[in-house]
Amino acid sequence: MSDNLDQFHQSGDPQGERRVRRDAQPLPIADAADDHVEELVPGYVLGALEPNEQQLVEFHIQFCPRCAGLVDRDLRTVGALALSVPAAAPPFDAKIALFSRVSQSDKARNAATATMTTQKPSATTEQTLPRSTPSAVSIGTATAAAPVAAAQRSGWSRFGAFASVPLLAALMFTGVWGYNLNKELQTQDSAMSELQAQVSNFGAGGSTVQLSPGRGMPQAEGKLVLGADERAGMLQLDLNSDSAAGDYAIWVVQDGSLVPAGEVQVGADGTGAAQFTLAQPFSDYESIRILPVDSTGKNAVVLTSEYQGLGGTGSELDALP
Amino acid sequence: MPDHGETNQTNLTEASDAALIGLAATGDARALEVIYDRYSGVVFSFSLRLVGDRQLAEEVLQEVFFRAWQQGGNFSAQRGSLVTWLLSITHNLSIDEIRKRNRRPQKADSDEPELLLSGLQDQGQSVEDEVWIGSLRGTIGEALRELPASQREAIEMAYFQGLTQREIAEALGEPLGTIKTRMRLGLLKLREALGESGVGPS
Ligand SMILES: [Zn+2]
Repeated sequence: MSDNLDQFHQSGDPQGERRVRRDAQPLPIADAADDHVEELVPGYVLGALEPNEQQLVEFHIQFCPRCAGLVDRDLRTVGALALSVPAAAPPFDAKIALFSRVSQSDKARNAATATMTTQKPSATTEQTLPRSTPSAVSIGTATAAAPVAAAQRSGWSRFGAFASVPLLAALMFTGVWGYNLNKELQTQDSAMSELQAQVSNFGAGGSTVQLSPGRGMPQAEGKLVLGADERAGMLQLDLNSDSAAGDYAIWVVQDGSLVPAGEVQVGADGTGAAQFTLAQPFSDYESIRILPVDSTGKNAVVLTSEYQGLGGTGSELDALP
Repeated sequence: MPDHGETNQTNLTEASDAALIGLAATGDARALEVIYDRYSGVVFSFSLRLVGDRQLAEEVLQEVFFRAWQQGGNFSAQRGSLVTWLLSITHNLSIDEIRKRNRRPQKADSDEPELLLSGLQDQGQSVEDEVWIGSLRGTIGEALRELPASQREAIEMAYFQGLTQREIAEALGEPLGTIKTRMRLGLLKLREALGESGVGPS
C-alpha cells in the first residue's frame, strides 16, 4: 500500500468506513434529533460533503434508523453507478499480493494453526514452532531472499513484483492459500508453472519434520515441510537470536558423509526459510543438518533431525566426523 | 492442503455473499478468495475509473479486500449487499487518493479521467461479470443517459471526480443549493430507474 493509504488507514475511520460499518443496533433513544439529516444524504453517499457535515451525518445515523435507512438506500443507488464503469480485469499479481498479505495477518495465522496440525507428521516430537513463525520467517532462497525480505519489511506493498516460487510455496504452508489460486497458476507463464508442480506435490500429502537444535545454536527451532515425493521441501527456521544473521548451509547425511542440499539465509531477526530439492527421497538419507556456511564441524550444527527419528539417533552426531 | 476437499470447495463457490463474508470474518481465507473472484473485477474497474492509474487502482483493490478480510464482521446483510459495501469502501479509498493528488500541483497535461458518459460503453474486455452485474450495467447506463445533463454533471463531479458540493458550485458558478438539488433529483431518478431492488444478486 502506498504511504498515502497507510496514512489513511492510521488516521482513523475514513468517511465510508463509518457510514457503512456503524453499529447496527440503533440506540433506544425516543427521538435522537428532530433535525434529521435527510437533506444531507445525497451529498453524503456521493462523498461530496464538507467534513463537518459528514461527521454530522455519521453521528446522526448511529441513532436514527430512519436516516440510516435513507443512507443505505442511496448507497445502493450509487453502488449501481460504480458498476456502470467500463470493465477492466485486475492483474493476477494483485491476487497474489492480497493473499500474501492475508496469509501474514494475525487472523490467518490463528486459522492456520489448525490446518497445520492436519498435516501428516513424519517425526514424533512435541516440539512446535512458535505460532508466529509461519509469518515471521524471511522467505526465499539464497538468491531470492533479499528482495523478498525487503518486500516484507515494506509491508508487502509491492509484493507482487517479487513473487517467487519458494515464497509462494511457503505461503501454502500457512494453510490459507486459496485453491482457486492453484488452478489459476496453471494458466500463468514462467516460474508459475514450477510453483504449480510444487503446490500439487505438497497438496497431495506432504509431511513435516521437526528439527532439534544442535550444539552450535541450542535455542534454535526449525522444521522441514516435505512434498509427497520427499524430494522437494521447504526449510523454515528461527534461530531465536538477533546476532545469527547470515548464510547457512543445508546438508543431508548419506553414508556418514555430508551432501550439500542448499543454503538458507537467516535475517537479522534470526529467521529464515528456503526451498530445496534432494536427489533422493528424504527418508533415504540418514539425517539433515543446518550449519554456518563456513563450517562443517559437529559442534557448529545449529539444527538437525538427528535426535528424532527418520534415520537419526542422538549418538549419530558424535559418530560423524 | 489436505483438508481442502472438492466438496468443500464446491460448497464455497456456491455459497451466498453473506455466508462467505461471515466465513471470512472467522478467518477462512478460502471464503475470501471466492469473494475476491466474484468482485475483484468490479472493485478494480471502479477504482481504476476513479483514480485513472493502474498501480494505484491495484493498491486500492488490495486494501479493499484486506479490509473485508479484517472487518468482514462489520458487514450487515440487512443494510445492503456485499458488493455495495465493497464498492463503498472502494469509493472512499479512491476519492481519498484523488483528493491527495488534487492537492498537489497538477501537470498541464494531466490525464484526468474523462467524464462518465464518454466512457459508458463497455470496452469489451474479457471480464467475467456476475450475470446480474452485466444486466445492471446496461440498466444504469440507460438511466444515466436519461438524466438531465446538469444533474448528471453534478453527480459525476462528486462521485467520480471527488469534488465536494461546495467545490462543484464554485467550479460551475452556481449556488450551492442548486447543486444540492441537482444531486438529490439525480439520485432520485436513478433510484426510480433501477427500482428498489438495489445492487446485488437477487
Ligand atoms: Zn434522522
